Amino acid sequence: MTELLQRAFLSDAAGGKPSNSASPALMHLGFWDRLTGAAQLLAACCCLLLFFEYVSRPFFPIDSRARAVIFVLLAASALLMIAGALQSERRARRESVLREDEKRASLAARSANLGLWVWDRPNGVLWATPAYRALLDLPEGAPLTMDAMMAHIHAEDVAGLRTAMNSATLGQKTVEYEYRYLRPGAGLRWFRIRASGTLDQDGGGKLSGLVMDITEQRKIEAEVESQRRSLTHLSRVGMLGQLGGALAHELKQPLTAILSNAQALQRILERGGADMVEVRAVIRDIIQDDSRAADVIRHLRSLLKKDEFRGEALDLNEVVSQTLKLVRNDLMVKRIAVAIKLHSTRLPVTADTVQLQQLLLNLIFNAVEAMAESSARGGTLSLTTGIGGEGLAHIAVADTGPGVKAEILAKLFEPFVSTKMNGLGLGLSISRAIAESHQGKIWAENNATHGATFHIAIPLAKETA
Amino acid sequence: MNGLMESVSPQVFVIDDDPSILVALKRLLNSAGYEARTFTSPREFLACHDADVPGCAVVDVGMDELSGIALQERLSLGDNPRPIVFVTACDDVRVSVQAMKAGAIDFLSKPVSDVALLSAVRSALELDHKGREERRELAELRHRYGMLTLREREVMAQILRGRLNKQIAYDLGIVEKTAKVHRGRVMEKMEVRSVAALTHIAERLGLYAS
Repeated sequence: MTELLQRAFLSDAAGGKPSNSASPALMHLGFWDRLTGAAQLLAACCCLLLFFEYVSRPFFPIDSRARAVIFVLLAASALLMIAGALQSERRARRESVLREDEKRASLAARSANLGLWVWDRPNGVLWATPAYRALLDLPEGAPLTMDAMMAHIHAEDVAGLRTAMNSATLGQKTVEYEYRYLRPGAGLRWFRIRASGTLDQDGGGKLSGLVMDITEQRKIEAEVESQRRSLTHLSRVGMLGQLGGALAHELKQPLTAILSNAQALQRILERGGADMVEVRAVIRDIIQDDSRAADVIRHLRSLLKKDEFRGEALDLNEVVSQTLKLVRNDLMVKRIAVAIKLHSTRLPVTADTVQLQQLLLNLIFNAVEAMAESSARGGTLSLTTGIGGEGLAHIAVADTGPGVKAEILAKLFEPFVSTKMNGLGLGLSISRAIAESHQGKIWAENNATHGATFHIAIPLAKETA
Repeated sequence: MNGLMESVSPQVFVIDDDPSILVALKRLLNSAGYEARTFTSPREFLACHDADVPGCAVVDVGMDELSGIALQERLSLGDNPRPIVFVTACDDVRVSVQAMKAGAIDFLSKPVSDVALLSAVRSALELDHKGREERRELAELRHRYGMLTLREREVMAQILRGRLNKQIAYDLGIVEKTAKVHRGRVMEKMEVRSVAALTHIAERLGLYAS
């Protein structure tokens, strides 16, 4: 295929009209051309000789043996001509097949917006198809050199591209690299280059390959990513409704302490003869509780903010207990007992706190709803963290509800699958997206006795300390 | 006549699982002249609870192991039910109605203002004090009534019905003079001077019901 593409590129480079001189693959067929030419010349000479012999026979009769030799030569040249004609016929057929292949390959390359190139590194020659030139959008007539091309590549990608090209040359392998190209007319474009290197006998390297414009593809990917983010964010904002009570509770606690401290201080000062040590202690406590309230608000803001994925070094145990704190009140009101079993040591992961909390909250809310549906007498929510083998941290969220129906279980994490009356069926698909963005997995199973368990596994981070 | 309870000043027991709130509420109560003791959990509080110590409890509704409502049930048992002022950070109407029905003094939302808290604590302590006084008086009256002999109780019942000594003597088959002596003993033992006062005591002892 590469050979074909190369040929296609060469024919493309010649303006779509292949010629023998430009097509090394056809070069060896010239021998038959020369042979046929020689045979024709020989036959013509023989015919001329026979004609002169016939005209001059009354005056200069020649030896019948010499005439026989001429006839033999004539016959031989005729045979050679026939052979040559047959050969050229074969050649024409092969050429037409090749040309057809080349045409197809170049059509494919053009329609896929592929630019093909060959870079003769030691000689500094860069061959490229017109499609490639069009991608680069270099000014007309400007010489195509590696330096001219490199000058337009995004500064952050130059070093990477050079490294990729070098490793292709030295390793004689195929490498791929994506880089940004500043096209003078059309702004920033994303290109993907695929290069394969070969080494000459004299040690010089030759690179060839193709380049494609993946800007549109990138745009679509970015669009999909941003929509996913919007959806994640929206579901989080929706979750805030459910969390409202818990957050209000978290905020009221420090506010209560602040108010009571301040009013106590007011009374102490009004009474006169205040103990300054006590006064200082009260003020210190007010400041402390104020920052506690600020933390709650910061957390709330982080839940409301539409952030990109931010991986931080976290302890999974910590994330689980923090999340539980948010819903503790809600669980108590609904008379749901909590059984929490955290792994005895830290579970270091690289994760986005907000997203991980969202994922856990989603599972907890689902569990709570499942239990509320099945009985009015509450139930037990079990949260367990541990190591799930192969360097994975594992969280299990189990409930004592009615469990998940077998036919739903298989497609539980697909979008728009819901068992709730007013459910959109997005919660778990968002949960899966979050797990996957952490290089993790999420799955569910029904418990042996009653209820269901949802599992999350995400890779453990290697702790440097 | 006064028991040793009078010697112990009333306490405000504050139960909340948030340590910084405990510290702040204790300061506020102290600044208003109340003695306060703090506990981070209902369990801790119950472990050293003495129903004979006068005072009230300020209880956070939302606590992990034992909810404020459950604690209220426990405290309402026994001879000396302790008045409770609830504070809560989550406005759950159902819980507050339940608490008020079960006899809570007040149900205050966090953050709670000093005026509201202190007035609730004041009325809780007053109620506790009044309750204890009443219970002590009643115990005293029961004690007095217990001192009466069977015959004296019979005479007392007759007195309460407004009968004269003559009628009492006739009914009980004794002489009038003896009836008069019995009446004198009853009035003396019950520490009253008039039939009206004796009637009042009988009412409090619930003698009319039987």
